[in-house]
Amino acid sequence: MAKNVKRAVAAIAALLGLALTIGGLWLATRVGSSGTATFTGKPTASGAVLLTPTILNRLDADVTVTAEAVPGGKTWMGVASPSDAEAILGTAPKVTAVGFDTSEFTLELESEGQGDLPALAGADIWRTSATGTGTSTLTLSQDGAPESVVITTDKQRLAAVTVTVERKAWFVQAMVGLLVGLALLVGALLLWRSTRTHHTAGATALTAPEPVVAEPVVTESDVTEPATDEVTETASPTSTEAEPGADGERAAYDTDEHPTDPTDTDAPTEDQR
Amino acid sequence: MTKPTANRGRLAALALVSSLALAGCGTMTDLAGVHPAPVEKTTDAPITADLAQDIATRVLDAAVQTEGVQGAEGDTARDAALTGTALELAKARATLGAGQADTNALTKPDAPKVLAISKGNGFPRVIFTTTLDQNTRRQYLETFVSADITQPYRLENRIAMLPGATLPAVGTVDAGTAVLGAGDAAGLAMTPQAAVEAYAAALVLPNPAENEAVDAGDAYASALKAAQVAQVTGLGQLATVAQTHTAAPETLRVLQLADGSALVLGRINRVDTITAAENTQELKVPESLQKFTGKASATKSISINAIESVALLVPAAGQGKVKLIGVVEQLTGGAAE
Repeated sequence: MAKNVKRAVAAIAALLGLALTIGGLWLATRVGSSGTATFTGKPTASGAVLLTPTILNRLDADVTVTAEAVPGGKTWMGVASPSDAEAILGTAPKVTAVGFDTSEFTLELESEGQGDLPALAGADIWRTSATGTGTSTLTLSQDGAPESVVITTDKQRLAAVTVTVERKAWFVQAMVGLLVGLALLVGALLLWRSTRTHHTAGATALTAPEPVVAEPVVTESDVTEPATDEVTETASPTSTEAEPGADGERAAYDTDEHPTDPTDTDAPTEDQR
Repeated sequence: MTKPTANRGRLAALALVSSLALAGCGTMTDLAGVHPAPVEKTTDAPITADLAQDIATRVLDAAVQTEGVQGAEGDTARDAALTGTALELAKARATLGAGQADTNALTKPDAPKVLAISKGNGFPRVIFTTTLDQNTRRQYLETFVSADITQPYRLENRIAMLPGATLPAVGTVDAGTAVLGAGDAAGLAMTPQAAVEAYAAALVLPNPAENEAVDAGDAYASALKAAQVAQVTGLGQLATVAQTHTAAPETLRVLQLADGSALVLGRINRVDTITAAENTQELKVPESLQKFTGKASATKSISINAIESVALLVPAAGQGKVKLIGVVEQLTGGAAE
């Protein structure tokens, strides 16, 4: 029963270790030694792009937003309070980043709204803004959180929006995960092996306490001459080499088949049997 | 001595336990440092003090640039930078000149200091600042207003403080300041509208309507009275002099102060009228006022219109009288009949 439990634990540990090892390796390769994660979204609908606090303010780290226009296009982006960003866009067409896809490192985008965009740049709600031909970039600290970013282009839609966040702890955690995973794998292996080794040792332990009974050697002279201590001490090699356990028991019965001198105290008595 | 098999078992258990302990020391999101996004406080100031400072500086610079610019170009620039009473005053200065109050022209002051931002994310929004004009050594109070979310802030009031006047503490900028309506009592000695109307009535000459709750003994009111006395003396029996002051409640901007009082910025329209006596054949219009009246003389009366942009303190109930802490006046027109 204990053996099976250990094997089950070893199997679970091995699976967990494998998952952590693979996950650690994967994360380390994605974030690199700088711990930088980059999520990219490519809007398929026209309108302003809205990045909300769900995207920008969930980590205690600077977030860099990069807007890439289609060839020949210009970009503008502004940072405002979430309510102001929502209010100024109103029902105008917009593409909102609603979350991250951490398996593909992409932004999950949803489009809605219709009509024309209002004049965004002239409003006095923008804490900071940036313009650029081709690409524009803004870096947000978390001091002003919560904040939203609105991005527009003079073309129909943006080519891509990228959110980059740097958190050095991610690489450290990836390494820790990798090491923990390897430790689990090693632990699982040792645990598995211990169940196999423990099986053999257990069998020995069960038989070792059994006394090795020297099988008296019955010879023809023994029948005619009284047995002496010397005779009994010259145990037959056959007796000492006998397999313990069942064979040993059989040897005890054999003594019945070969009666010995009743004066021989080393011989098994009826009670002993 | 411990057997090798026992060692391996203990090592395996140790590795397993330590690994699980490490792996289970937090949820995945905790480990990744991810937390819920903070919730926006929509009852605080809607913009940061830094942004308010930038806006006030930009708008005031733009307003100064429009000073004295005439024609359509000037009107367009003024409409973009100014609104309300400040716009009316600027238009008058551009078309008629500063008249007798040359110091009213907008000059580039030191960087504005943000005293308050209206709280809440509704509209209109207000930024309240103060500036020191190094040229005149006068301290000014300004309000900048954004009518809706797509409209930039524009300068609505710029009022010179009276010498020695003090403004009570406004409160924390980031927390925002409540903007009251003209009819909000809000624990005040009287509503802002009633306060401005009472003060305006107290300035009427020659028969002011005195009000126990209004302090009309300030420097500006005293100067008006002194000027009228001089006019009456100068004209003698030739004419009578009267002065009316009418509050414009629609122009009021009211900010709640930290001590429960309120700062009221608004406009009072003043009309000075000189009426010829029955035996007077002609009244000569002073040369400096002829551009307002369009005539050099009158047989019946001369009237001069002016805007008084005032800053009044309305105390909390039982805490004192309504008093003037700042004023700017600008002649805006006139007539001679």
